[in-house]
Amino acid sequence: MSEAANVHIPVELGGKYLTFFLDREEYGLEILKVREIIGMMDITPVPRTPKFICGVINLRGKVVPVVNLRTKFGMETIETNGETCIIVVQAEDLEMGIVVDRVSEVIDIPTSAIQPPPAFGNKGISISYLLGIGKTEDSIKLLLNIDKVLSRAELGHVAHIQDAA
Amino acid sequence: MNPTQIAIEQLAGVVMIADADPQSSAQALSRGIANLLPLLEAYPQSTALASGLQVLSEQIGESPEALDLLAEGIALLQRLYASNERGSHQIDDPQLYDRIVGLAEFAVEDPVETDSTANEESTQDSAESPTVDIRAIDTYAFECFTEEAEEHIDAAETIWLSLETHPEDTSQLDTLFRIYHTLKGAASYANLPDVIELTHGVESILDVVRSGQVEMQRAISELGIESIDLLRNLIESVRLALQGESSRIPHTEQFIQRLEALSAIVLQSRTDTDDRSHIVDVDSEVPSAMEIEGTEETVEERSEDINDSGTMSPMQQSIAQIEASFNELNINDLSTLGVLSGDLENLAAELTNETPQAALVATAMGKILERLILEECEVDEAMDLLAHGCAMLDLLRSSFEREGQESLEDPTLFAQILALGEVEDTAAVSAGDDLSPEAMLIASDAPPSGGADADFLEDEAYERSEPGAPPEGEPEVRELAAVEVDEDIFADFSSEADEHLHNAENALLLLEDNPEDDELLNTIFRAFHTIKGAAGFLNLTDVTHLSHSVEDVLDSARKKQLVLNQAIMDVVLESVDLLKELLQNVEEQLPSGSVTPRDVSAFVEKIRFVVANKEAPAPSAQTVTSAPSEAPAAGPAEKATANSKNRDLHVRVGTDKLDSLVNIVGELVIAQTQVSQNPDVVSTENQKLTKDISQLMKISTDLQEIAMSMRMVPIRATFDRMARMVRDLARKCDKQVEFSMSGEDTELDKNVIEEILDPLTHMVRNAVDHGVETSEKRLAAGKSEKGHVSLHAYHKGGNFVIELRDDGNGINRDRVLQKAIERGLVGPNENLSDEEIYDLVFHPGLSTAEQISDVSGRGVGMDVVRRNIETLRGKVEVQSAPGKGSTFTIRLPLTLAIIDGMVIGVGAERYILPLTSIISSLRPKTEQICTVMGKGEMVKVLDEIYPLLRLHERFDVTPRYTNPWEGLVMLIEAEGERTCLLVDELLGLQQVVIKGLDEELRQDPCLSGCAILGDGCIGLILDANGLVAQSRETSTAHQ
Repeated sequence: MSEAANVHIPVELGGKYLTFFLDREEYGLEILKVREIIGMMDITPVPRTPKFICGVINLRGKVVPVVNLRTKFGMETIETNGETCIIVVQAEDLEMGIVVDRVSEVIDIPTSAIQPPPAFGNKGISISYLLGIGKTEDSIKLLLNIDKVLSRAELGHVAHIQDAA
Repeated sequence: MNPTQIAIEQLAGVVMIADADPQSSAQALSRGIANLLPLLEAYPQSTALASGLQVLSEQIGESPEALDLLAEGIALLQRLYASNERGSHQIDDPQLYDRIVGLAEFAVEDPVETDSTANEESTQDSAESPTVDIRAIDTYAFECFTEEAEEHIDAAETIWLSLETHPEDTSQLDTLFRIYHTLKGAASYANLPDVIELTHGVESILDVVRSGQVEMQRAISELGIESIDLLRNLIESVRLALQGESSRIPHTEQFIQRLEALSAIVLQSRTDTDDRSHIVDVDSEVPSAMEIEGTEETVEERSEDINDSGTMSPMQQSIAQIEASFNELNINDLSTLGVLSGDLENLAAELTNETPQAALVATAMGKILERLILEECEVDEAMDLLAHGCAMLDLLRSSFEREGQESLEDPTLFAQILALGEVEDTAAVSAGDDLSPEAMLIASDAPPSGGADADFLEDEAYERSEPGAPPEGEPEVRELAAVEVDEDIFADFSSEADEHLHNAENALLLLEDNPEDDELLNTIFRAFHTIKGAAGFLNLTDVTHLSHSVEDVLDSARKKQLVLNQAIMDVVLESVDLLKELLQNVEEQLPSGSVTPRDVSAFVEKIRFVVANKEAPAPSAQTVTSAPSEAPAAGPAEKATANSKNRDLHVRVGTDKLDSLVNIVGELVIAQTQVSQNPDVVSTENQKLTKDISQLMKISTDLQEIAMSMRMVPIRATFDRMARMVRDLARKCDKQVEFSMSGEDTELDKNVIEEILDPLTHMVRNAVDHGVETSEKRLAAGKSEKGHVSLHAYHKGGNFVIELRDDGNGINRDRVLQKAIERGLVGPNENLSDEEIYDLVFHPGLSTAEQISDVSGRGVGMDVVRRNIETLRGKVEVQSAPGKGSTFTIRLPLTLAIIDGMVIGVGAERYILPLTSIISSLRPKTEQICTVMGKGEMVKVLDEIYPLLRLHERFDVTPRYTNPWEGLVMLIEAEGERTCLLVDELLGLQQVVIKGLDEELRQDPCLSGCAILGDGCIGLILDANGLVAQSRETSTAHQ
């Protein structure tokens, strides 16, 4: 519950979101955070990094780390298929790629259709990763707070835990 | 609580009750702060703040806001002082700080206008304050300045050094002069009075030297080199101060006084070239220099030089002597004053026959001194006049000696001096033509003080401070400058002036909205002032005239004697346009070889009219002689263009931009390769397509080369610094060392050049300090008296090589070996080759051994040198012949951005191992592998046993081979240790561009970065140091 208190909900959440699927859950990313969407490509693994970091890719001469969101969220991993792709996002000052099952659409979600994430109790769900939950006619979209998911602290923190283990 | 804190506390108390009686509180506060100032001396920021508060305290009677501000300011001072005491310099409210300090800055400038120091060369800018007021410096302007200045200073140093060895080579004097001139201009833009003063002084001397009137002397180049150091110090201290770190501004006054002493001598020796029989009594000539200079040795040296070169008439000697005494005059030392006064009277008696006016001045000066002693007149005013009097004496005297008669340049000043000295101008009747009625009027209206006269003085100071024109010989140099309208200098000036005008224009426009903003006004004033100075130097009379009048207007506005109204703003803006036109005009006429100034007097009249109409007491621009008739004949065109060809044009680009260019070009090459290797393209029958693709390949390769070369700079600057160091060191060690270099234009990555400086400095120092012997020893050994140290740079096999050679006594091979054996670094019976023995000097175990360094003179910190060079992925080797000298060879990669790497495969992954760390690769036989307790694996290679690190285990990948005898073993070395790596295969050599990994990803010490391979995939670069350390850990863990 203590985490719920920390969730910071900006007043204006409404706007355009890029949605994608992880398993059967549909997530939304603020469109302004999205740099580009690229197909799956060779990822060079980097030793001694957290498990959810797949490695690095060469994005036109830039070396960009890639995170597997499924691993990050503790979901089971699946084989890469034709629909798997990498969304390059700008999280804080980091440019990173995230591997998702498939990209869905860009939709406009008004502020009125967004509600704060509910509390789940102590189930290991970090709701600080969510900006809120967007409701559309036929489905709900989990709006990701990507800055939080991919923050340096988040990446470094886990890395240290793994080191210690 | 210390006294300072108590004093500040008291101030705070007074402010609290200041509401009741503002008048007396203001006085109490002002006094309190004045007492506080000396206590704060050690803390420039606090001092500045306190001066600001003082100004503020005088205004509290007038406005309630001032009181509030003052209260806040005192609280700030309290905090600042407390933080100063703790050793930090935290200004917690920078806005408030700036605001208050801004007040002081203005106030500092004011007294200067009327109170110029006792030295007659003092310029408007230089007198501003003895220590740099940091707040007056705009950080951005300063950055621009330093960027430019560093290059110039380096260049100047090189020239000075070459002048020292070849004083007869005057071809570079122009360049040197221009450098100082540019520095001065840039410094005035950045508002660095110390730098301006210093460069101005050197520039004046250089100007005389380059005109051929005086020969280049050792003393001058000594001073020049010193000026370089001082300039660097100054800039550095300002930089530190700007960063908020406490730093003392180095004292430039002493240097400048010496500079003046020298320039006085140089200038005077020049006026007397026809009469060489007189020997200068140098000891009496430079007493001030003697006393100021700590190291008498140099002064003596200089004195000798002066003896050789300079001669002057006895009269000038006495004048110079008096001048020198003035420079060090202490107003409280009455006996000196008395002596000086007596001297002046004697001088006056001597002068009476030939130069009555000078005699009058001297008498008057003597009288002024007497009155000073009796405390009849104001000290500041008197000192001021005395200083000017000195200069005037000099002028009168030299004009007499040149032309056989006195020509009074400044009747007003003349009259003022006489007036204060209460001397009747008996010569006025005879020399009546020289005196304007106005001046007579002033003379009768004694004692002069305040507004109008101060303006005169100030104008006087302007006249004097014209860059390049040394005060004593102004008329002469003027003629000289008139002949040389150097196209080159004009180009510098013109671009500078454009910038200033642009700034002024912007500031003017802003000022229209905020007429109260003093900083803007200052900016505009400075712009015009700088332009005037530079134009005066170039003898662009029209520009000088115009900017001078505008400056006058602005100055009175600055002093609040004039309120800027719309009409004045308009006319100032118009003048900016007109100045631009004038510059355009000059530029057009330059190629034709002669420049005719335009007549701007009409416009100047307009300015005066506008100002006079709207506001009463505006100072007129009368000291400027509007002289369109004085058309300067420009120098021959071919001369002007002589130097312009070797000037490079540069654009400064951020390294991040460069890096992304390199990135993208790299990608282009990869994409290009992929296209050309595409099966469809390879098998195509289309000739045109094949041709086009090969064309594309050529272009992209060229592009890549250019992109790579953009980071490259010549190593010249580094070598030049070494030259300087060798010179200084040789003097210090009392050795004779010749330094030479070759290949200084060889280019190297800028980062590498920066990194190589330290180790190279160390090695060169060793070479001079320990390598080269003293002259006696050299002669005894049958070698030439002078030792020789040389640096050579060249490219060899994709490497950049620096060779440092000396012809000293070489390394004592046996002693090194003996020590190494003593220390157990080498077994007693090991048979080492010479190379291996010399290589021991780089061993850390030997480096700190004093005995070794005493005997062999090598090894002090040499391990550090080697480590530094190895971090650059370079290598250093040494060769030595006993008694003949040593050669150190440094091999460096051309750039830090690219390495030669060996691509190795482990399972599906590819890694890059820097070639420099690879010793060999082998496929061991089963019997070469042994284990310790079934775990720690070792490989026996050529009788040596090394630990084996399985890369696949380390990086957790599935390899193709797990047995070392199936895969491949790489023997690598780092920091003197070796280890073996088990890999699957070697994929080949490749030059790769290094890319950093994000902090979060670089958790593994075995990785140093990554690189993009030929197919566009990423390969990780292995760090040999990390791997060796890892293997050490693993083996200890197993034990």
